[in-house]
Amino acid sequence: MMDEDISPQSADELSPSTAEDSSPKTSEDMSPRNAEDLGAKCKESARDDNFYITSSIPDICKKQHCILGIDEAGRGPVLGPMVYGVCYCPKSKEDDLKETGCADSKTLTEEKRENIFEKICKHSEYIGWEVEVISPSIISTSMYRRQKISLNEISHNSAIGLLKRALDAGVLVTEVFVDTVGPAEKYEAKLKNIFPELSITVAKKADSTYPIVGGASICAKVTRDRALKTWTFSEIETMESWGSGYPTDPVTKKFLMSTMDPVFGFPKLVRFSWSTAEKILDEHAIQVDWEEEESSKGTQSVKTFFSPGDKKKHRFFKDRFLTNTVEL
Amino acid sequence: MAIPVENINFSKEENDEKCIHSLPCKIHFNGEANISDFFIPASENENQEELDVSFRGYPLCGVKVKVPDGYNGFILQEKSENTSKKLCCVRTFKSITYWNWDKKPSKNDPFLSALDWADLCQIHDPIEDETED
Repeated sequence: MMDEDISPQSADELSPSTAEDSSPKTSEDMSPRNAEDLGAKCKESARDDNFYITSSIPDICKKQHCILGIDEAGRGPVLGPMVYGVCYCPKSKEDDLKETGCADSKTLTEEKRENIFEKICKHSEYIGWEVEVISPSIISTSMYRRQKISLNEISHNSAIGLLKRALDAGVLVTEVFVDTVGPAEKYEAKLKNIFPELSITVAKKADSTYPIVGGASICAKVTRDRALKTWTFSEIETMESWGSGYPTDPVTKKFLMSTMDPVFGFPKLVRFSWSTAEKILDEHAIQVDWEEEESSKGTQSVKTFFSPGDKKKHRFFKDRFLTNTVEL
Repeated sequence: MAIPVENINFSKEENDEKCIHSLPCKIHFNGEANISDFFIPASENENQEELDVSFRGYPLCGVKVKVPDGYNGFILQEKSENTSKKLCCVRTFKSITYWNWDKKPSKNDPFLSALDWADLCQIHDPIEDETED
């Protein structure tokens, strides 16, 4: 995999505004403490590769049975990363978790979300989390592979990867709650097959039903928002607004039109594989033909297979498309 | 009919050879493009043998190919003067980056295996074509 692990140790810039934090920090515990820290981590990471950002793992989560929630942010937008998040805590602390205000990130304002995220970080003695930032460039290239990888598959792989990482790190996960937009039953069966020892619940709108999934959705959403705020691109000269990123947003549409390069298309912030992006390139960019589309030009007549053809030419030259040329 | 080629100058080889690319698609365009901002190959290993890049969202795999010893690469531009066609050499090169769509370049690619001819053709001196009628 091309995942780049942003380990807690690599954060050398911590914002001074969190200095009043009372809990003693060990040298290992350099995990983000608020939304700004998340932004700083995103800024220093590669734009065209996936990466993880993680909290420290609370000791209690290695000793007590934990619940773990999985949710995503930024699935629909035509630009920016899709972020997957997990959030976990001991089952015995579920009521404490509710008090932090963890809920469906979509029902909260940005400010509210960032406040709750800071609370989650403050309670690092029993709440842990990790997010994977899936770069828009990886989304495009995955969907444009010879064997296309669907967005659902990308999503599942990310969720499975995050769950594995939590288990590998020693988190005593016993119950897992997953939010999904696709069919829940099939996804649940897939996860149960990979993690037979876990109790797994996949449900639509799980982020509003289970606070632990709400927590995961907040971690994911705050990360996506901060990534979009701090990311810069060599291809984008002016820092003009790209709007919500949803294809229906006129600001996003205008951004796509104005940053489009006639040869290369869009900056790497954009998901080329979205129909909105494809349509703009179809209509306004220079035409590009890929091998598949080119080779389907008409059908060969049956006769051509029996005609003597280029008898004189040896296979060595045919295989290599080598011909004699006198004229140009 | 032979076409004259002008301005062949071997010393014109430039250092930034890496910017000659062969892409697995047809771009219906001739002219300048903002390669340095949009087309930045990356390599996972240190010797830069296998390269990755994306073009229009498509994943490409590339290798850097040296022009065989004793050969030179030329970029020719057509110039029409009056009615006669003329080619003008605008640049020479010693290497090129060959890209495939989501497939590691190998000897199965005609472009790469065609370079075998450079070695093979040295097994004997040029001969006359006997099959001519």
